[in-house]
Amino acid sequence: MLPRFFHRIHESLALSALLGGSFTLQSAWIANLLVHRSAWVRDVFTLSNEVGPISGMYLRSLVAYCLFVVLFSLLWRGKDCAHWRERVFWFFVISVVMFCVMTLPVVYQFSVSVE
Amino acid sequence: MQAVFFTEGSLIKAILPDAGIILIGLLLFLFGVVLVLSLLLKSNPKLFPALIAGSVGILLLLLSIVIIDLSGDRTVSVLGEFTDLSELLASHRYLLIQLPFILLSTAVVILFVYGKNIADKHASIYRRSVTVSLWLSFACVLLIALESMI
Repeated sequence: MLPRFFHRIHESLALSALLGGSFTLQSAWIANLLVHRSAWVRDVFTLSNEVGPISGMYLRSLVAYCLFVVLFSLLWRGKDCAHWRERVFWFFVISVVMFCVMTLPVVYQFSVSVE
Repeated sequence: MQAVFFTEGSLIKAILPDAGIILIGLLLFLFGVVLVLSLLLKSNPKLFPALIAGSVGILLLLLSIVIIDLSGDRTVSVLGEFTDLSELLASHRYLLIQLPFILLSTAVVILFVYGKNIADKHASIYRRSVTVSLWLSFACVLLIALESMI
């Protein structure tokens, strides 16, 4: 089965990995923000009391990455996705930058209180 | 007979007094190899199996380091009141460590799919993605190491 896989380039899978990674990063900073803002979300993500909510966040990232890669692979399977290359690459770069910025404690802890 | 693994006074514990430092040393060594290979990928695409092996090695080492770190007697607080800068940076480190895992996994999948064809003209964006992923992962690990010193 593996030699048949390498018989041609499965660009859809490479592009799915890139887009899956981007969406996982986007969902990771959103999950972090929700964990920080809502006690209910924090409790849902706390799979291990010793580790805290980060245990659920790691598992969420793993599941989201696998799910997105499989989903986009099925969506693009057998289709010409050459015109998506550039757009997906730049979305990937933007996602990495957004993840880096949004996981800074000064950013996700920011709040405005009205008196 | 002397115990080999895991127990106090075992052979492995005597040989490796601090497993974490050895894992980080290996991690930096593998990063050095992988980053050089990523620069040579265009001129010599036959290097891709070594690049995949190196990236998977880095992923496994990172996983080992995270498991060792989390198995210590501490709760990682990602919210609540932070009493000092060190605690604040600890929470940032645990969030940031997700980035190299995602980037390296993406690079491995792309290299696995493209193989020797990664040097082709039409694969330039994927080659660029692999290079960006590997260098950003290295930058992340360096940042995490720097933050852990504060």
